[in-house]
Amino acid sequence: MFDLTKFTPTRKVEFEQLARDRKEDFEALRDKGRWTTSVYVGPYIVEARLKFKICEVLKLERLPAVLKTHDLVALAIFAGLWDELNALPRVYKNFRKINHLHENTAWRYKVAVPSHKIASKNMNDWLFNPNDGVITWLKI
Amino acid sequence: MAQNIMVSKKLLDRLRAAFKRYGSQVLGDPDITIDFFPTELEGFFGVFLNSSQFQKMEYTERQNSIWDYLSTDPEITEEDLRYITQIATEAEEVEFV
Repeated sequence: MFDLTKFTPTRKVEFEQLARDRKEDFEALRDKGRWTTSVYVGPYIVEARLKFKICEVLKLERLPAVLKTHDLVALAIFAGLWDELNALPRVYKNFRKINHLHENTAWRYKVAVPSHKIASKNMNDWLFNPNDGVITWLKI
Repeated sequence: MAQNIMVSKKLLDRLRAAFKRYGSQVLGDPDITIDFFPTELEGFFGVFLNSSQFQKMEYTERQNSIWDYLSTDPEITEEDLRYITQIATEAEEVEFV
């Protein structure tokens, strides 16, 4: 039985900063043409931001350990953003593309190749498109 | 699919037909295979599509191609897509090092 009263060591303010840090990492990697790792790092911006949002909505300084998951759909639900996300179908489509890539552990082990520039460009669009980017919606 | 996952068979049949149309019309592959898999969240599911034609597309381009198609398929609504958490297009064969 999972202990529902446990919390992660990471604090709310750290998740908030973590999202900003991963965004800067994503941009720095793209600036340097490190396309492959940028694709792998991109979804962590969403994960960290959602974990911050959960702490915010639950008025907690730390994330409940039961929510120590990489599943972005579960995190969006517990952040209270599920209905809002469903009302934004284009954002939601990008969200699921990012979720799939985040769940695909193969990206951790991909060797850097120039053709991953396309994947990085697409990830950048799914995250930061001014109209339907997931991070544009989550507002860092 | 696990029996406790409450997903309408009609919905899965409609989605399966849509992915078949995607295979035929976009990929030129009527033999595309479609599998649904459960997730940790009850009622939500993932989709695994397998087609040799995917090898001609870059990884994220496949995602854009599939979701763009689903947005235009006349038989599919936004509501139909609501409980798909992800659409996978390649089996994960990862050697952890």
